Amino acid sequence: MFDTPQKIFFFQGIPGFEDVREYVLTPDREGVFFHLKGEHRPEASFLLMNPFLVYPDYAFDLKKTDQDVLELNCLEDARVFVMVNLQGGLNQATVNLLGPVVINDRNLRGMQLVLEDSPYTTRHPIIPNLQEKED
Amino acid sequence: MLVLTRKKGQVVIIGDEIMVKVVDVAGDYVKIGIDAPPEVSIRRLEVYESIAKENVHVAQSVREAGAGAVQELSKLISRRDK
Repeated sequence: MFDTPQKIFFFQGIPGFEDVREYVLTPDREGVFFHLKGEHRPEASFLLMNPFLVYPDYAFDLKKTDQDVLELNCLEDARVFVMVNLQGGLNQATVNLLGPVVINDRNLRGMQLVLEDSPYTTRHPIIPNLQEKED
Repeated sequence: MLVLTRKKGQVVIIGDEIMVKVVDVAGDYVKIGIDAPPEVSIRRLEVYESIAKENVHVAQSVREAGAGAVQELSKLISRRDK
């Protein structure tokens, strides 16, 4: 799944880009990152990745109301991504663990969650976590 | 904006299906209870705004970083993952 570009529908848009609902999700060559680009709105362009590659213990509750928005009948159909911020260059790259992007594999509906009462923030470093893993 | 004064325990009804109740008041804090249909999303504004702001930064950083940086980081991660 998601080896090739897929059209994803964000019913509620994406916070900050509420009016952009149709996106195309394209994997990069290495298979680590995914580009999420507004179909007719290139300014709504995001870099996504699998959060578990850098934060294996990452977890959150997928509320019933959010499952309903995604029309998610089975949790196994949910694919979880997080947004990558490259501001400040490669070594400063961060992921937003407070607003995971969840896509329903089955109907290709997506949404960005807004986690409440969460220990996470919008900026968790990528690189330090990679180096810790190496030790 | 409509401004109403309510006491602890009192309720405001919005439309037919949304009820907002003042559950408790303590100092600067007001605890509110909300009953609404599942399709109505209820969020704390600050959290939503912080994510919206971050998304704007992410989109900007993607435009500025270019494909090279993405590929380099990608290699770094896939190497460590093996």
